Amino acid sequence: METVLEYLAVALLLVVIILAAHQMLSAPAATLDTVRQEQLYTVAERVLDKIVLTPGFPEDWGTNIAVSADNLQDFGLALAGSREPYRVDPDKVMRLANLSTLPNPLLLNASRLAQLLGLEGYGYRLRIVPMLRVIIMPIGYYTYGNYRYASTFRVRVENIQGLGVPNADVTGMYVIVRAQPGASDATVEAKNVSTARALTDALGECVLDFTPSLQQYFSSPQNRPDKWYFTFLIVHVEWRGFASVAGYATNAYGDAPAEGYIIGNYVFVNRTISPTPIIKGNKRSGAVLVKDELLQAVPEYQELLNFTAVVWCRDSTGGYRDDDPLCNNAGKVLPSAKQWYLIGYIRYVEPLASHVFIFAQFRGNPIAIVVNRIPSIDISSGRGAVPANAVRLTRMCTVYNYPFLVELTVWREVEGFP
Amino acid sequence: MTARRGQVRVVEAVLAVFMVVAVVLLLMQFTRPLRSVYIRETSDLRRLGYNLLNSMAENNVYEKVLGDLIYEASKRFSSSGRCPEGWEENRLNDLAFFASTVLPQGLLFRMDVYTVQYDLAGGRAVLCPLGYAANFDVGKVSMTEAEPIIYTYVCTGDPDRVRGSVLLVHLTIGYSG
Repeated sequence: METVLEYLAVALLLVVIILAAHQMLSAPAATLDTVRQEQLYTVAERVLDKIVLTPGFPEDWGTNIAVSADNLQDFGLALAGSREPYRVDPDKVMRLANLSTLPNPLLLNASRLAQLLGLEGYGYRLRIVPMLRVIIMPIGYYTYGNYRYASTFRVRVENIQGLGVPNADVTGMYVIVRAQPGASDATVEAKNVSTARALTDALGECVLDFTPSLQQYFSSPQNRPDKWYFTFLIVHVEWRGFASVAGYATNAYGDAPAEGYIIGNYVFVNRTISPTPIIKGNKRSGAVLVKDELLQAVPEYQELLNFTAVVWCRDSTGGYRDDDPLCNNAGKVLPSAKQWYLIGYIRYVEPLASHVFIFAQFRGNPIAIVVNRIPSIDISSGRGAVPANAVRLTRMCTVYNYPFLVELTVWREVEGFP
Repeated sequence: MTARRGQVRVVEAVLAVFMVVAVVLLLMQFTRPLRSVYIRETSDLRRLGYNLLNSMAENNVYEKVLGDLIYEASKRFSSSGRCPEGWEENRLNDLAFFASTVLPQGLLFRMDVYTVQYDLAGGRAVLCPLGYAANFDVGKVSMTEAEPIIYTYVCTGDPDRVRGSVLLVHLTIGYSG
């Protein structure tokens, strides 16, 4: 009987020891979790400060095409020389943009970014988005001759979470530049700006209709179908003091590659685009810089359009021009880009211009290519999924006086997400 | 007799194990560090709060959203020497909507806004409440891990009639629970 009791007691003892061991092992795990999460916060705060408060090295890496992802030594998006915190350099943001229609020739990709920020071993997602996101959807068209122009637009204004913003003041500026096509170039004859305003409804949407303006414009005998018309739309949104802007190529249809990049003074567009030399007065032109930041302040909308020359690095035979020093420089720095892009440069890029519209031809039709100098960025080291144990920090920054949100999410790769 | 001694030792051993485990677990409860993650969270909340208020100031949001109230409060104070009564309960819905649009999801906030009036005869500054903006029912939901932020601002933008007015904003930002 005693032996049985002893065995029972020993068995009980073993169970108690196993339970105690389990308890002792799991108790510190909770403490370690706390410490690990704290480290994640520290890492996220440190990295976000580095991103938005330091300019990186070299400080002009946004505009200097000689600085590529490989030789960039230090990453930071702050505007060099600015005394205000949280002021972000749009040219540096442009290096992170990658349009679906055209890859960025000087892209700083997610893995190199992780390396520069010391985020190897962590997963991260970096978003740089306007506080007010403007989405332009064409819902009506106007046909004139062989051309079709988007004339009615549904404009949606939403916040970073995708919620519509009601009562936002939306101003649309529809620009038509009329040119007389010549043998090798085109001469600008007139420009016309029509405007429309509306307030967004409860869902954050409104409609801008330019059809009557287009009907009136094209009913004039001067605006004949044999002319060229470069058209584009600028939408400026103001809500409780916060502003945002968006551009849209209104006569680009089908698969027209109507987007491009501007890095420093250099312009990169799809190689299938044909550059169109434009003459305005006695000056060669080729693009319009839109000083849309002043859209609300300057009632004379015409004054906000600055015609400027684009020097294209392509000769009449279609080859790359090495005789121009700036083209030659770009060709040396970006040898592969010569084959894949149409490269040009603008001598002076207006600092206030958030959009550049380039006059060109695509398959014989005139189009205006939109270059947005403040693109939205969403880059991620993983597949977009974020684990529960992730840290997300947000800062409100300024790009060209437009409010932007910079959001960084950091997690550990070992926690299940690549 | 020997068998009984053995049983007693087993019982002693069991008791000893219980005591050791109890003491170790008790000590572990005491030695567990503070949840320092919350300290980090609230420090970031403070920065986020200042970032929000400063961003609103830079874009002249206060003037545009509260311009009429600021003007009315200043006018009443100038005429009667007293702040408008009951305004601390004003809900500033425009401001609340604005802040909840901009702030990350899951955060609670309450923003009390005052104008600073100067009683020149009495030689004192008076805080006149304009109201409050909040994204939760302050009577029902309690806020934890919160961070208070005080921010002063001199109106510089349009409308012209509020230019030079001084505002004091008291923002409390945190998590529910």
